[in-house]
Amino acid sequence: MSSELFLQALVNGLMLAALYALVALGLTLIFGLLDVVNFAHGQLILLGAYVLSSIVDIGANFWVALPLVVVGLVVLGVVLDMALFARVRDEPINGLLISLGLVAILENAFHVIYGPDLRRVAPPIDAVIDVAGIRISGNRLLVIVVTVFVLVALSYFLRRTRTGKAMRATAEADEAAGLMGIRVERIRHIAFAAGAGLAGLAGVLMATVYPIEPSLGEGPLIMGFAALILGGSRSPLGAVLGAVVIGMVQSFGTTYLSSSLADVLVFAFLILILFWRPQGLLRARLETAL
Amino acid sequence: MKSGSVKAFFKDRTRIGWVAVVVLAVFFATIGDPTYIHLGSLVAIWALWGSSFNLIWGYAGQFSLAQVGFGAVAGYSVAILTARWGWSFWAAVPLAIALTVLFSVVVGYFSLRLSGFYFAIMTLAFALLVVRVISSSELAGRSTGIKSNFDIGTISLGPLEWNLTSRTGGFVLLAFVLLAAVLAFIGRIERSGTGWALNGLREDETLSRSLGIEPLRFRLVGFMVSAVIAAIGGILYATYLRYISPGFFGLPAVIAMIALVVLGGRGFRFGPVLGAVVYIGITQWLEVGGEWGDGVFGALLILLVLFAPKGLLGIDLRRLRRRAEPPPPTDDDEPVAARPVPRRESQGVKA
Amino acid sequence: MTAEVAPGEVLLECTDLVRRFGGVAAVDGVGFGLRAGEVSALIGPNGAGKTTVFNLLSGFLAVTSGSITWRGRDITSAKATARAGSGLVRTFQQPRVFAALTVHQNLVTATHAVVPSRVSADLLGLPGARRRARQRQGFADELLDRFDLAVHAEVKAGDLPYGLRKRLGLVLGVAASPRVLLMDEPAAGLNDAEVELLKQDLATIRGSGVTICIVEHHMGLIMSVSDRVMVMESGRMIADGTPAEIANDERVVAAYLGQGATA
Repeated sequence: MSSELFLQALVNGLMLAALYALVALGLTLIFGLLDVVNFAHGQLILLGAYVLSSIVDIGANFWVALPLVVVGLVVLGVVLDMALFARVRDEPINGLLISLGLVAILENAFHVIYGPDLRRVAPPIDAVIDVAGIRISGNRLLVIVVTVFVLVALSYFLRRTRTGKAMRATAEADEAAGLMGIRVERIRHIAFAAGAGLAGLAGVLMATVYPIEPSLGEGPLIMGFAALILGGSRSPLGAVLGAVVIGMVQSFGTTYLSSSLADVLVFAFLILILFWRPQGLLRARLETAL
Repeated sequence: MKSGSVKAFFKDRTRIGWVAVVVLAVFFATIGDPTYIHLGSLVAIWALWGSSFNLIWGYAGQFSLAQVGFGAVAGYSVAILTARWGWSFWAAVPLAIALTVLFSVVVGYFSLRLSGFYFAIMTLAFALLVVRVISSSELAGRSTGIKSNFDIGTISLGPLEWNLTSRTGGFVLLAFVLLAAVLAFIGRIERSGTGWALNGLREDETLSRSLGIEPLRFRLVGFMVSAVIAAIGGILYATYLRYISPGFFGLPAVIAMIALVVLGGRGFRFGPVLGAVVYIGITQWLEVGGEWGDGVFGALLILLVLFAPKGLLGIDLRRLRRRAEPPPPTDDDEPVAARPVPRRESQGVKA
Repeated sequence: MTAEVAPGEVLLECTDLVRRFGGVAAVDGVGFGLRAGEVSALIGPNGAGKTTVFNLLSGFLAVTSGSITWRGRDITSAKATARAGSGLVRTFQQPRVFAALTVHQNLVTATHAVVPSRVSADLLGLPGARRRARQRQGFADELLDRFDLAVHAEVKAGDLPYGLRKRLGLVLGVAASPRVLLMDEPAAGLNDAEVELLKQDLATIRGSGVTICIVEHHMGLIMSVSDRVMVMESGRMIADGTPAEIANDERVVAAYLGQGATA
């Protein structure tokens, strides 16, 4: 029986890791290219989840709603960056403060529009898959599969496309990138939009597994920050690895201890990592490997 | 030297600040209406929390998100000592403050070597760690919280009786007296060598070190003092609400605390008082925008960051007035900010 | 301010200083002593390791090996703040000032080493704290007068033009009451008039008994103010002598002056 429990925790850990990876990647893009610590990311996740539930409520199919939500958040991301964050590029702390203002506005809007009650979205996959004796809900598997697909696509985008390369160059050295003819501001808009889109996708996927409630975004936001730091704060690959570590710690902690204690473990782990290796886990490993 | 007029101006501002605090205290403490007692208590408590964050960020330049966690440690310590173990309130308070300071030293030891984003996240991790530990502790009532002692007694001054029980005018007065004491204390730091050292570290750590200012030492002092202020706020909060639960100390509280300091003006001693008045005023009192109060507050925060990043107290009235006048005819369209300093100074005096 | 130091006493001495970055030795076995009252210059082509030597002496970088003594005491691993507090002060090539504070406030902040803060007294508001606050103000006012900065007293340091910011950076070093002042390129970016002013400032500072060591590219300034010139190349000391000796040293001419870096 205990091996079943273990496998269950493993699958849950992978699903959490997938969600945190989407969030941490968005935060990494925004922090890496805009120097903004985006506290509004949690509310963007929630926005994705709520809007999905509204679209599904008026009768649309989940598979139609998903791209609509993601595209909607991408557009919102561009608008927010152009209207607000672009005005305070020289003072990163002001970007953080603006994101706090957005938190207050969005939180208020959700409260007025959706109220405090739990909302549920009918799960798109109505199947339970039996793998080697453990039962995995199809929706949890969906979270993992979609995330893996997005990660592969994003990796291809960053490594192979012109815009992706320009993005990496800008993250590395924005002034030099500007001198080389890269339109740095445009790249930053794209980074924020991509981050917002990833948050929206995370929200949609969360809504297939969890009921939607006003504090749904807080957990992933914090764990996303933690993953970002574990990964060395400016490396997309590092953010994903950080997300895996945190997802696993949380899942196994919850299974074998309690959910609060699991969070305590995650925070304690984060504090120790920040103390001993502020440059993150991955950077250290790469250095020794080179 | 022109310093005379400038100093007089700032002295006036300080005086205005003190007058405002006294007026607020008298207004909220004497009106007797439960609504106003509620509002007054919240204004004083949020002004205290704001002052705690203002000291560590506005003065010392450390964007610490742990302040709410300090409030939680102190508030829960008092609640557990009094409600669970039968201590008297006045015996519990010093111990609770001492525990909070001890905790702040631990947090400081781990975090003060870090800078910028890493410091912010490290302190946030501590704040959330506190909340999670509380929510998983039976002793602290898990996520439902516990009752706290609210009947904290009466002080007799000859024929005068000062009733400190929560939800009375006396309690509001107590909260404002503590706020005033904290503000006076911050003023003392401002004028001292310790204050200059904190200012220097905020502006340029490398330069400060080259002048013999030890970063860790002064920042730790700033951290400990800010923890004491947060502790006072946390204890008052728990006392006022008559119970305490982890929900008070989560991310929303962190955000509100930051926002009200930005709104009032970071680094201004009376900034958090103004920020708290505006925050409570918009969201709880005038109910500006009805159920959209928090949203209005958030929008106000964004507008200030975009157009007056120094906050309400940082708005340069003289410059605004100057802008309102028709621009003097000049040959070149030089923007005000690009003008050489002496000219800008003399213009300021003229206006 | 400056304590009784016998003229000619070696205040600061370093031996076999080495500092490596990765595999590269930026400073590779440098040793010299600074005598009380002397004005010395440390020159060399860009990348010779001059600023690194200053960073090692002032404690902003840790040595890879070698030792530093200050008035006979080993300070190789002392903190930068402790060195500054004991009178070994440095300035920076980039004009570092407290940008958001006024010139007067800058100077008050810089008096920390002269009038150390007693945190507990400050917090408790003991009479000593008030006395020290007055001492600070007095010392700052004196510096404003001594370096003709009084007209700018209430200007924010960040709003000063480059030359004045550079000058304020220098005066901040003086405000820390140094026995030895290490100046990193004080003339960099200054125009001719400002360099003349700098010469006067150096004379004033020297006159108050401060020992000076300058890293500089401005040969005119170096030749006119220094008693002694040390030359570095590729992390090593290649010459050490009077300005006249150095100007005629073949190795120096080949390594440095020959490169046309005389500007």
